[in-house]
Order: sequence, then C-alpha cells, then structure tokens
Amino acid sequence: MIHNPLFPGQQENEKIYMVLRPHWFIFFLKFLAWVLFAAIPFIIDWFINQFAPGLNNAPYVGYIDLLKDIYMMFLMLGLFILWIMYYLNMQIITNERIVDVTQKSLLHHTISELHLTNIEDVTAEVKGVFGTFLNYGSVYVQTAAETERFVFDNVPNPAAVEKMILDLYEKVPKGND
Amino acid sequence: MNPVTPTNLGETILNVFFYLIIAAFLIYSIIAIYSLLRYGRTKILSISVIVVYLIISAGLYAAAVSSLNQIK
Repeated sequence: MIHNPLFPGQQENEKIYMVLRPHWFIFFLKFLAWVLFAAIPFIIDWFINQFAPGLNNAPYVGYIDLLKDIYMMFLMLGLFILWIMYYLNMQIITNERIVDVTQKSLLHHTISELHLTNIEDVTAEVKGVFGTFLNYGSVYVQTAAETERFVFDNVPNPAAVEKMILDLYEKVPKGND
Repeated sequence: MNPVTPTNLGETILNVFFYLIIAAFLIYSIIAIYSLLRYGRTKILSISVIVVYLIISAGLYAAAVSSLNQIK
C-alpha cells in the first residue's frame, strides 16, 4: 500500500474523517472586496471619459494604460495570494487527533496537533445572519492539559463537526495515548 | 552635436521604475508559487492554478510592455 500522507506525521493506519476549510462564503466576501478593487480602473476610465477626455490622447493615454496594466498585474497577484491563503489553511480530523494547519502568510506555516484523548470540551458556535442562513460558524475545542484551545473559524456545519469530534473521542481507547 | 535630451532621461527613469516594479511582482509571484507547491496538498490542482495564473500574468505583462513602448 502506498502511503501518501495528507499532513506530516500521519500514520499509515490513521483514518481521515474530515478536512475542513473556511466556508466558501468567507472566500466569496474576500473576492467581493477584490472585485471592488478590480472596478477601480473602469471607474477611472468612466471618470476620464466624462470629465477629462483630453487624457485619452497622447501622451497621457500611454501613461494611464501603463498604470492600469501594472495595477491589474498586482491585482491578479492579490487574487492568487487570496486563494492560496484560503486553500492552505485547513483543519484535519482523524481517528486519533485534530491537526490545525495554519498559513499566516506566504512563508509562515504552522501545524498544531491535538490528540483526541486530551479533549475536554467541544463547542460549536453559529452567529450572525450569514452564519445562520449558510450554516457556518466556529468550533472551539478545549484541551485538558492546556489553557489554550483549538479554534476552527468559519467552518461549514459546525454542529456536525462538533458531533464528529465527540463521537471520535468516545471511540478512542482510554488510557492509551 | 546630439546632446542627451530630458526626454531620453525620462524614458530611462521610466524603464528603470517599470522593471523594478516587474521584478518585485516576479519575486512575490515566485514566493507565492513556492508556497503553494511546498504546502499544497493536491499538486495537480496547484499546478493547474499556477498555469492559469502564469498565462494571465504573461498577458498582462505583454500589455504593460506594449503600453511602455507606446509612451516612447
């Protein structure tokens, strides 16, 4: 059997139950903000046509086109990075542990693990209009040993995630870390 | 006598600025692509997205160079 781990340190017999990323609506909100920035060149075009048509002639038009092209390049880079950050942030629930993979910036990658045996309390939270209608929210996992808790932000169906973690906790053999 | 005119100096400064901005863009893009390939779980998806990004970026770069040449 070929072992192709989803995260570093994954055991061969470790079964992955869930891979969670923030709800698509969270990415959509960021994408909407990006669209607003993408609209700026079109607004400037409209503004020039309405109030300063002289800028549509040489030599100004060349400079304006150049600025727009450079702006669009960085805008594309922004969208690319936005998607990378969305894609690389995830939580994995296995039959043995919870793995929180966090990409804080392009070169800042963190992996935290929590064994199911250390779980003390799991809380699912849904709040806000969009969270309620689209069924996304946060899941808080309190550990027995540490005061710090695992937080899954804006994950889809937090109640199902909470139930799955508790079900897996029940199945873990006690006294066997 | 053919002295260096302010227009030529302006073009040189514009070129330097333009290629400095492109270099910054390139470095940032390389870092982003590296992160995605290094930490991304699905290589096929990562490579597909990178290819689309590179095609769009190459098109925008070509448009920018064309605009730069239009100024000269």
